[in-house]
Amino acid sequence: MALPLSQDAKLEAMTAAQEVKGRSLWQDARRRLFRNKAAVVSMIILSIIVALAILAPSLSRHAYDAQDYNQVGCPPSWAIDMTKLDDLDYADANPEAAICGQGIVMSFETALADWELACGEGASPGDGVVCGAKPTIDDFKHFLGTDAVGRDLWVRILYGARVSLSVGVVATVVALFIGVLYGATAGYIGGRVDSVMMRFVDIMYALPFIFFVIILMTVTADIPFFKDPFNRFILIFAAIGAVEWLTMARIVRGQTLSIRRKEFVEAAVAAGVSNRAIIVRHVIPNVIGPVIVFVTLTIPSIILAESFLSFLGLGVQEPMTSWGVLISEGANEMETKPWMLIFPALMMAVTLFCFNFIGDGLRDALDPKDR
Amino acid sequence: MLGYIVRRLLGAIPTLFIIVAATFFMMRLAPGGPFDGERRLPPEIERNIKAAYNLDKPVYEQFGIYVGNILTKGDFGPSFKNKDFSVSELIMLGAPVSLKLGLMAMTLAVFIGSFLGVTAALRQNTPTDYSVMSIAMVGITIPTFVTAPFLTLILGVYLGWLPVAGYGDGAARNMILPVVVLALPQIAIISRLVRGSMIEVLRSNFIRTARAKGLTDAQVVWRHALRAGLLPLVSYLGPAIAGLVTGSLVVEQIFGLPGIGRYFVQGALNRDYTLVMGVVILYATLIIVLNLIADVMYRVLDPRVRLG
Amino acid sequence: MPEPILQIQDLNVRFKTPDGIVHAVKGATFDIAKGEVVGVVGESGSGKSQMFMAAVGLLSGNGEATGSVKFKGQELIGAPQKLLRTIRGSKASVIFQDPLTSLTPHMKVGQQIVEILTTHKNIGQADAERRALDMLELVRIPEAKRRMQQYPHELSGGMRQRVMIAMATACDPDLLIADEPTTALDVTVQAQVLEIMRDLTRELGTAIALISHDMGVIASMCDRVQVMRYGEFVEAGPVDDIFYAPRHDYTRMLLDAVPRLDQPDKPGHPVLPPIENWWERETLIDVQDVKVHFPIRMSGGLFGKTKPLKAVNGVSFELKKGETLGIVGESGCGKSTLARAVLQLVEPRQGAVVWLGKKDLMKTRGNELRKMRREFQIVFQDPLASLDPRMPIGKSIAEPLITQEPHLAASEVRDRVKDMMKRVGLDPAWINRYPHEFSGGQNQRVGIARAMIVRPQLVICDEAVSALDVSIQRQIVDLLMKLQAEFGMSMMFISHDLSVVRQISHRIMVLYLGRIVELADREEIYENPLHPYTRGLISAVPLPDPKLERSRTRIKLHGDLPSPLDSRAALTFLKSKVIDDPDAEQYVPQLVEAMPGHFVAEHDPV
Repeated sequence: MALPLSQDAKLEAMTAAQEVKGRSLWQDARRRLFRNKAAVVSMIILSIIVALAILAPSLSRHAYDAQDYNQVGCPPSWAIDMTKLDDLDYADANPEAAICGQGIVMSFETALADWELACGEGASPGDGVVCGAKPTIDDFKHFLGTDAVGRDLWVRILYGARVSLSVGVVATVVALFIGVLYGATAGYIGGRVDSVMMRFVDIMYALPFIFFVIILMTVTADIPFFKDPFNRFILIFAAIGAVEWLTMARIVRGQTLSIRRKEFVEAAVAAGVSNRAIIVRHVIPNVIGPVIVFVTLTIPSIILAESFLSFLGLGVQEPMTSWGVLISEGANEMETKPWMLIFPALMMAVTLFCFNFIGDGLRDALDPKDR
Repeated sequence: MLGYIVRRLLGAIPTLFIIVAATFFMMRLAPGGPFDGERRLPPEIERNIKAAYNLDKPVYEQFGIYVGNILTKGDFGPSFKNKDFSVSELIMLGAPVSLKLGLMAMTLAVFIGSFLGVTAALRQNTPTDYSVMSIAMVGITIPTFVTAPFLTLILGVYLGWLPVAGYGDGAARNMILPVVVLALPQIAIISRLVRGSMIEVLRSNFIRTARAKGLTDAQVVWRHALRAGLLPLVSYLGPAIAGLVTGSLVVEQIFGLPGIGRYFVQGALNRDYTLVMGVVILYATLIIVLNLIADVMYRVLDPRVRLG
Repeated sequence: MPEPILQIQDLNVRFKTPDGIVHAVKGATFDIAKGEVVGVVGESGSGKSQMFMAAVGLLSGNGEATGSVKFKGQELIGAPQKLLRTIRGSKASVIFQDPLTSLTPHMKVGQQIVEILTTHKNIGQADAERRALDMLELVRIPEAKRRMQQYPHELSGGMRQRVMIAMATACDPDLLIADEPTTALDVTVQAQVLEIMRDLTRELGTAIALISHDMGVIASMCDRVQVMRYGEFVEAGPVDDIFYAPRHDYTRMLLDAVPRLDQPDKPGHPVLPPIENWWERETLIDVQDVKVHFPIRMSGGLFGKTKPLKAVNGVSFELKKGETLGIVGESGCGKSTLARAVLQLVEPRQGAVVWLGKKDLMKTRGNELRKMRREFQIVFQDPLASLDPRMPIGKSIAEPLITQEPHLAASEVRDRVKDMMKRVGLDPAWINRYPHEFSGGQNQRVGIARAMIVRPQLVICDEAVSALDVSIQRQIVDLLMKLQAEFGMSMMFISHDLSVVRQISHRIMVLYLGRIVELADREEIYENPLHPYTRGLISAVPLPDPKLERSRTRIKLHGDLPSPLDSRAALTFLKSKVIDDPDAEQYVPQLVEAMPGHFVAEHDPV
């Protein structure tokens, strides 16, 4: 015996038959989105950046917190001509490159000697020694240079990407969760409840909320619980998410209200459909579009907010890093080590560009005015 | 109209109160006070200092005293860290700097932003439009704390045209970089906003009527389109001010301007409660008042909005 | 033959759209002579407006016009903007459909007229203002001096359109292009505006190109008619020939579809079966003194105050089983609100709606009310807006069914949906398609199928055909009558269009500012209207019959609909009992049974 189907399942089953295929608005939107070149290119670039961030630990032999004392504040390795290290004219003209080049050689030779000693011909590996491949000089080059204490910039940018992107995504989810719940409640109940709830949002809007985040971050800096990097991380999410939910609540409420007034919702009420079913069947599918657009545009603004906090020294703590921290460090050293500013800034800008282009593309694709 | 303004101002009182209370309790309830961290003081002296600043009383009582002093004497208390100054004195020193910076940036942003937006809208889907919008995208994406060092690096360090930092008593040369850096994101946002609304207005029926009257394109834009197209800009002014305030925290920091944004950041880092409170109250009041002005302006510019 | 003002030769208009090139006007050719009124009729999308927009160079950016348009011998296609500007507004001017959005919202109406004068005539501000004032008086705007200083939103719809006319005729143009000039207006206001246009242009010898979908308007105004379909003229000729001896099938179809106030039952269409023994029939709903008063916030004072907007103000009537009650009235008379009050869809409502003599729906709540809802359904005005854009139409139709009969198996739901789709004239194979893939008429069929799927005893049609073209309108009306014959449900048919209401209704109720002014049998109310408002309303409807139109004298209703917030407004037709205070409790005109079954509200003698 077949299980009794829920109403919604029945609706699904009913229209799943093989009649003439309809073209839903989602399909239309997807087609329009994929026709938007900027959005498609952005999606590709963003996927690459995300993949790099996820794979960061296996992409470089350098650890994000390892200091290479032979190479402190060195320019990108492709700016150093390794073949001319012994050339005195070259050293005169590029003293820094020459020193950093020697640094690479020194680090390599030290590591090679250690390797030979432990794993080389005739040596018997001692207890707990794991022998890797034989070091080559390329392993000691720093593709994008090093920072002021000799850490590999490329790896740090990738680890920064992990922090910045996850803050962006998680805080957006926080904002989304609170905002959708709050906004949908206000919009659906309407009347007095709505005006009280939105009045509260208006009050919160009246202040530069970043102040509260700053105060929150400073007052919690001394609480032992929040000294733990992970907890501090969560606090950043929560604090920024708490700022961004206001706009989300407004958008969701406005959309809910306007959909509530649409005739197709009135038709459902007139048919005796319950409130719950109206929300699930009619309100949510129609609110999703604008919310998705807002989410794609919120992620970059949260990445910006996090980097803003980090820039002020209130974000993630050493040796963890984020794009904001890297840019802040870079800004301090920009006169002598411009690469420390340029590369993190470039990486962040490209990411934010991508999010904005995707957001704009989505908005155009979902915009009903276009139809 | 007057009734509306009075009602709005009355409505602002609970708002301000909530802001003051929230800030106050957040700072007081957290561990670590303004006098920690310095060399350990003998218990007696510490007690005396705390008594002098009323820190020995229960928190709600401190709050009562604080609010009472503001309401009766307009006194925001002494600064905990800058021992020779009261908060009011510090704010009086810093506010003109921040205000000057903010006003100049705002003016620049509004004029350049709306000019770019209108231009792009009038030449929709032409190279002009695309380049304005690309620049705007850059302005929105790249944060102040990146543009500031970059511009300083180029114009200040490499080319040596402008001073790298410092207030220089408000000399124009010193203000150019901070103002431009602060205005850039707003220019970008405003130009996108204005372009969007102008395009919508230019498609509207009354513009078709104006063209059907035989007016020149310039007359159509100036007399009929511009006012309607700039309306969304007026309602954006509120958020724009909040954006400028946030931006000014960074800009004052980077360029070493002695404004209240810098006081705020340093006050927050040093636990200078009273100073932070003073700055928050000042900014919140400013934002509330400016938002009100923006709303009133909107009502003046759009006769359709009923004053009520 | 007088010299032509406008000569259009092989005009083509094409629009570039993301979905390809749309050929909106295909080789149109015709002339307009001096002082002549030429009507251009056609349904939506026929290209009739675009043809004239192309002629005066007002096409939107993606449009392109080829061919030849000569204005007094001067070529306009490809002419420099500078030349076009000297013609637009001064020698050839345009009146648009929607006067609210077509006037600049932030500019005083006086200034908008002054502007056109200072642009084209070599006169100063003061002279222009004087002339603008004259023009406003010429179009019969009361208190013209004060109106000069007002903004468009402060004027009523009819007044705005008169401002548009004043503006368009300010420079004594040779040609007036009127693009659906009265479509957005109520019928009594339409009559006033048409009369002003007629008088004004006759005086000035202006030629008019009247673009309209309304055969009645065309019949009452035009000398010659051009019938347009899909961007082409299918027929052209003197107005009498078109109306009395149409040659093209499309013209014949159009004329056949047009509802006629004086001929409700046309041959070839379903005929409304009369209701026998009205008194003995079972009463489906008994509506007793229903009121809907919305609180409206007013400005003034420190905190403002609220005033009740009496949208529906004490309406009582009975509806028998199988009967159709037509409800007519102008915008703001409360007809849609009344429908929603009967259906329990609007708050706050008072009074009683007694269902089958047993249950007061007003006192029914929650689940019980939801279950009752299967008995009364609604069909909305805007077919597209009343369907969830993200739901295939099959789901939309099925929704009431699975809600009301949750025990049905999915396959049975599908069969019932497909069956209903067939009955309303939709291909059941379209069950998975979406509303945006259909035309307005098809979507309205979906809306009807959704209402009918639960076999309700009452269907309320709220302006259900108003947004549709005449030919589609006729089909939907026929469909509703056919369904009534099939299922025997009662209907409340709400419309501002008296002719359509007459086709479909057994009895007709006229609403004015939330109250019934007259209620009678459909023949009776049209042949023997007793209330002055009903008389004015009926007289204002233009008939698609040019000879009749020329000989008709109209009973005029002066002025516009007064504000429903002013309590004196309710006594517009009973001035003798008015207390002169906008906030006072006023006398309530009683409904009197003048003849058996013919009720009329108290009014001053005509």
